[in-house]
Amino acid sequence: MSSFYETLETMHQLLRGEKSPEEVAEIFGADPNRLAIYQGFVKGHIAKTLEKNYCLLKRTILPEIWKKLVDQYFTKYPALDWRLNESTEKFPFFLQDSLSQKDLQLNEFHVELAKFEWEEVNIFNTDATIPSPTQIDQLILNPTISILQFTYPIAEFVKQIRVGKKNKWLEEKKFFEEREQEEIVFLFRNLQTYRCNFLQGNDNILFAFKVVHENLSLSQAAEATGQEISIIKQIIREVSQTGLIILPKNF
Amino acid sequence: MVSDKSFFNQNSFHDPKRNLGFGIGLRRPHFDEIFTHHQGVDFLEFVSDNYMNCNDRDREVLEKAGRLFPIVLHGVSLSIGSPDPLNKEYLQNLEKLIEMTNAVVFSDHLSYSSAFGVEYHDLIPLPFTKEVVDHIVPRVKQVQKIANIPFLLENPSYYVEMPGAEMTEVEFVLEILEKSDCGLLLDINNVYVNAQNHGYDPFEYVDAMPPERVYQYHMAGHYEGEHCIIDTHGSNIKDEVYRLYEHSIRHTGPVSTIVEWDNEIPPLDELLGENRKVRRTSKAALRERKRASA
Ligand SMILES: [Fe+2]
Repeated sequence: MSSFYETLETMHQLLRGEKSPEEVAEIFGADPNRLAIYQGFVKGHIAKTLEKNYCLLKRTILPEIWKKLVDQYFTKYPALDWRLNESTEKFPFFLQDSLSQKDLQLNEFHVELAKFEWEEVNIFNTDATIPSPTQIDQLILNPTISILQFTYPIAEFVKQIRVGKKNKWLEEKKFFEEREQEEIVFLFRNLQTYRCNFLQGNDNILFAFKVVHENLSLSQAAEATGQEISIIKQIIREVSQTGLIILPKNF
Repeated sequence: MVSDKSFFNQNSFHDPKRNLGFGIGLRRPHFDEIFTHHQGVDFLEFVSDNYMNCNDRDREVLEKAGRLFPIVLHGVSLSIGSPDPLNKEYLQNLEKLIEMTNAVVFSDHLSYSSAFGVEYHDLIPLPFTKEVVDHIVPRVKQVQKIANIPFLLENPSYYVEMPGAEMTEVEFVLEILEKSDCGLLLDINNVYVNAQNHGYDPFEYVDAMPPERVYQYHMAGHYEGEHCIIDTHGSNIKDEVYRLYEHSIRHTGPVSTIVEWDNEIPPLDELLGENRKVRRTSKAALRERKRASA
């Protein structure tokens, strides 16, 4: 085996945290403090990206437990992608797998919140192009759309926490209470602001989504629901204000 | 000596792509402002890795920037020194990005950022050995083939010299550049940082670089850490680095220069101020160079 390969293997062990800077310093005849800089950088990039991409989740977890999660994730899921963001994609799966570790005090709420936050990152970065109303001749769904189902009130939690005001619901940790029925949440990027929006699926939203998704005409939708076409149109127009569906210019 | 057949021969002194003027690395916080506020900015550098398969907002910015400025691309994940094969998907994305932006030059670092299938997202130093030179040269040639524009290697900063060195850093860099006929993106701050951290003369380093190979400059700030100087790109450029730049410009003649600022990104005005200072320094050095040769 070549010395180049051996050197890189030893560096790999350092960077993956498998050998300490002191151990590698002995092999290389180098300063352990300087080797520690590299070890710190490599792990630090993943730690910072987790912190950025899962910032709401982090707020619900004790700092010492968050540190444990970062350490374990770094060890169990070596980064395989040159894109830093992508290297944190598996975090929700890792949390799911860690539910049985009692010392981490995790429950399904954390997993669901992580899934929500990852989807926001994903949608923000997607290379899908959102057409403008002048580029389409029929109703379409926002091409960046993603649909998630939750048993915990994730959308409500995200809304409340982003408002930034203290309230009873947050203080009493009501968000940890599981729901009887699953909640559907739509996430998508807004055409104008480029920001990621999310909507809890209420009757009108689910209806408008179904009409566009199944490519129903307004008269078909009216017939199926026993509603006037004008009311159907009104609902679709209202939902389109959110950016979930895009209306052609002549709608 | 560079042979006449080389891309980087005496003609490169007259290559307009080698003298684009004074640019800045454009980072997200300045995306909106740059289009109305760009006095003194002759060209823009984008970090390629951030714009591969990018979203439509980034695409819009890139296209708009491409209409107003010459664009150069600078990567961090090519991993030219990795023991693994070059990442085909990465190269394809890079090729697409070069086409999309109409970039005039692209570059990456003489280091590695991945090995054994794992990404480090950082620039890790290579041993200065013949074996590494032989490993890297064909890889550089492979990268040069993906586009019809010059590819440059940047001298990276490093805090630890890898064991088994058979040559100096200067010899290592020169051998790779010449054997692969590659241009140099000379990062002046990196030369300064390495010289301080490893105890050599930064002026001698700069003098050893053949002027016709130096195709672009980077200028950036650093931080004096506890155990060594760290190349942070997070502060103003230090006076010592300006002095070295001045010396280098006298040596190479006019070469495109980019101010890089990646951490603690300041208001655009401050970045433009640094860009103006680089321009003034370069102009003064060139006047002196002219006087000396007269
Ligand atoms: Fe640089």
